[in-house]
Amino acid sequence: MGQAKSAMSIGVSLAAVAIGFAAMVNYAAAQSAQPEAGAAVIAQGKTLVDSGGCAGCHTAAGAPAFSGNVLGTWNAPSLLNDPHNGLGTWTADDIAAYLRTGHNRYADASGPMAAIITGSTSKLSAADADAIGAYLKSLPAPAAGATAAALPATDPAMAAGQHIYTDECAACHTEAGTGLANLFPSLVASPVVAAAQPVTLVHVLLHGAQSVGTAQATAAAMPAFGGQMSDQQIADVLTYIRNSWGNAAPAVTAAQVTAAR
Amino acid sequence: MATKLPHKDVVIIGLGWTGSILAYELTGAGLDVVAIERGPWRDTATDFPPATAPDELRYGVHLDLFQRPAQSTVTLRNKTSQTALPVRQFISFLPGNGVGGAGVHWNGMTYRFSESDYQVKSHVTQRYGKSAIPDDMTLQDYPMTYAELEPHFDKFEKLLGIGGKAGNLRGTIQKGGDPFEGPRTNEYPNPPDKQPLGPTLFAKAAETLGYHPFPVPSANMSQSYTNPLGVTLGQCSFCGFCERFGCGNYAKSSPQTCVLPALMPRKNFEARTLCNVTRINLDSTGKKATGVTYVDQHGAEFTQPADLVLVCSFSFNAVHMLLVSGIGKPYDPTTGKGVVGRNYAYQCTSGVLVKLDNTLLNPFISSGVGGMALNDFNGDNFDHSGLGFIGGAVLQATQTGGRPITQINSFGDDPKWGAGWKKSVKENYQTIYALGTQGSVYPYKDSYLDLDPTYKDPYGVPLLRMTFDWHPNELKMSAFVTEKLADVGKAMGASRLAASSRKAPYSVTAYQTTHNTGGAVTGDNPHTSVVNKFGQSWDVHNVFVYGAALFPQNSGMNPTGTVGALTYFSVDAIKSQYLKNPGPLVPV
Repeated sequence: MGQAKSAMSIGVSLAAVAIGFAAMVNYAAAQSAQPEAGAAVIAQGKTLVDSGGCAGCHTAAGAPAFSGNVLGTWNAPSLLNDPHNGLGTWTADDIAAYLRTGHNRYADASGPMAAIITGSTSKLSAADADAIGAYLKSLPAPAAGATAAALPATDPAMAAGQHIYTDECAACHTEAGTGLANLFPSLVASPVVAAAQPVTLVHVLLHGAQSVGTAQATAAAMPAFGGQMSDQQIADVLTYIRNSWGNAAPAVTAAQVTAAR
Repeated sequence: MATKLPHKDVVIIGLGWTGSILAYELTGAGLDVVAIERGPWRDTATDFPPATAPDELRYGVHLDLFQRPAQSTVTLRNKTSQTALPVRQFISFLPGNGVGGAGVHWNGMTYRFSESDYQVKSHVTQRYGKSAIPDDMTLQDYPMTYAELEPHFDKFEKLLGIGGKAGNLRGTIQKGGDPFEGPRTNEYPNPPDKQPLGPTLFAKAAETLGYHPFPVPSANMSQSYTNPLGVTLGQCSFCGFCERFGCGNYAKSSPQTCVLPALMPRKNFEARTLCNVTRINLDSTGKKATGVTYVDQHGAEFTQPADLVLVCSFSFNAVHMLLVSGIGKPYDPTTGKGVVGRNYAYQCTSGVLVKLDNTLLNPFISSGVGGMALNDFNGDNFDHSGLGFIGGAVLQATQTGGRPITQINSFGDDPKWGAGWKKSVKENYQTIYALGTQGSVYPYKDSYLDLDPTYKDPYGVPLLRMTFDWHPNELKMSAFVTEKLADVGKAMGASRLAASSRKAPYSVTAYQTTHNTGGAVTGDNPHTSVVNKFGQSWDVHNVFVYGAALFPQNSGMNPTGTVGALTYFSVDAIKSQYLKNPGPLVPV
């Protein structure tokens, strides 16, 4: 019952966001702005982000703006300039490409963000999308906390996870975890992978996911592994992914997977 | 009583390579298009994800992706004097089933035939005289030249992201490519695949003999690629499960990976799956199609009216559709009159096994194409004077995997069971490599397709009857090219070698190739062809035919490149001429 309720509230907030963006789609044209200075572009981006309602999903109650949130079975990842748990590795162009096509060299949108892209951001003008990118890149990086250490490769979950990863995941996401631009998401330096509560990872591994199809994109899909792998196997491979290639995040437990089934 | 459905501009029978390309092009021209497909919808991530696609028993042996004989089959006989019997299990050739068709299960070898193959009758006559063509051989030219098809090959190769090395760029021979190919306008859109050890050793040996090996043009992506439709493909992982399998990581060109992501969102396109078209309907004049009749998976019958009917099913299924619909005059071998079913051909394959001691061939590291080939003995790339045959074959090192059930190579006298078998498999797995030839098959008066007088499909429609056997020309060709291939095998340092050229009679009990061609051939004369150069029926101007059924004869290479080029050649004419003024595109 609780789950149904939260899904409903996501639906409502998505609709609101979609309306917000639709109204703003031609902001740049309306302003007839040929932005001269970075500051003007950033300000334009801020206006779009604020009125578009990005914070509604990407900011948790009481947390710093855009530092990420959990919406039912999906993470709304941090948009901050953190290279591990945020968009630190993305350029403004990467952000703009993601908003307009649902895909870039690192990520492929699915879940609630796919609906936002279909309904709103795929209709943004290039200038508006660029402005949002510029604004998000202008956000301060979060204060550097203690850097988490990755689990050692000798950890039993890591060893088991590595074998599963090679057999089941590497054909698409590659042995190096980098995926393929515009097709398979990178698992390296990804806020979805590094999220404190890895709900998207668990959900997508259990049930699969369809990336968003836009005019310029293939819209590859992730197969579901829930029927094939045990909760422990899913936990192990996710633990491996969260602690490889420079990633460092707490292990995923079988109990977390069980609860998500 | 069939339910009559609302009118569509275009109905496409079969949603494979040609159907999906035509649907994309014609929806792009603003037409309302429906594709009707006998098999199921197929989607990469749900139907063949990497975790479950490499299942040799399911796909390689039980043939999950293929047409089932219970849906429809063919009857076969070698000679007109025999009674044909139904093929109850597809073995020799494997027609695809479902969305994507053969484009799902193929390996991805994407050649262009030799320039002279498209004018083979004129060419052979000019070089060797009329007497070089046997009396019963009904060889004929394509109604267009290679040069006319070239831009369409280029377009098809870009759609698929073919990896290869040009051998002839605008007339200049390129090192590392096939020097015998016709001039290409452009290099391949992708570099060639990396080569496993077997093909590398083959190429090295072929070079010492003075031959010209080149990487087989490949639809297995050598790198990630975005095609002109904006669709992105992944990189091939050399998993060794390609032919007979769907590709789980979007790395093999298929309608799913190259066309459908751009086509399916279009509001003027609809795919109707698990619906079997049983006939094309004609108006009272018999000169215009009104649409098609089909039966859905629950047995309900529908008529789909349309202005344009495009026959895009597998080659001999397309011929069957024309025959049961009464489009074109059926071929009669006793009089030589009639055209539908005439010039059915196949491909003449052979193999050479070589044992390479002290090697680790690691055959499980394979793409579907990953291999080297040479065309020194293909088409008319060599002097046939005094050889007693015409035509030829591509010689290839393209073993596509090391799968445990069907890809364990052994010599004829190796033990076939028990401890001896286990011991020999252990020795042979890493050391035996299978080389092969794919040879041309030219058409004959007594090789044809018609409707079987006895056997019917589940809808009560007569099955297609195939009358086919090997002729001396092809058997001599096979003996010659197999010997040449064995020479390369010897130069590879083989400690054992077994060469087996093709022998008569033709039998359906061993896999040979799915390159069945002809029966609805393209030409410039209605007395020797079913369709004109644009694939348009001579008799019913709003019916167009696609695929290898159009080939007047078969060449010694994989057919898909030519299938793609002919499709683009045709749809260009439909868009630029036919839609403005529907009627015959070539005057009779």
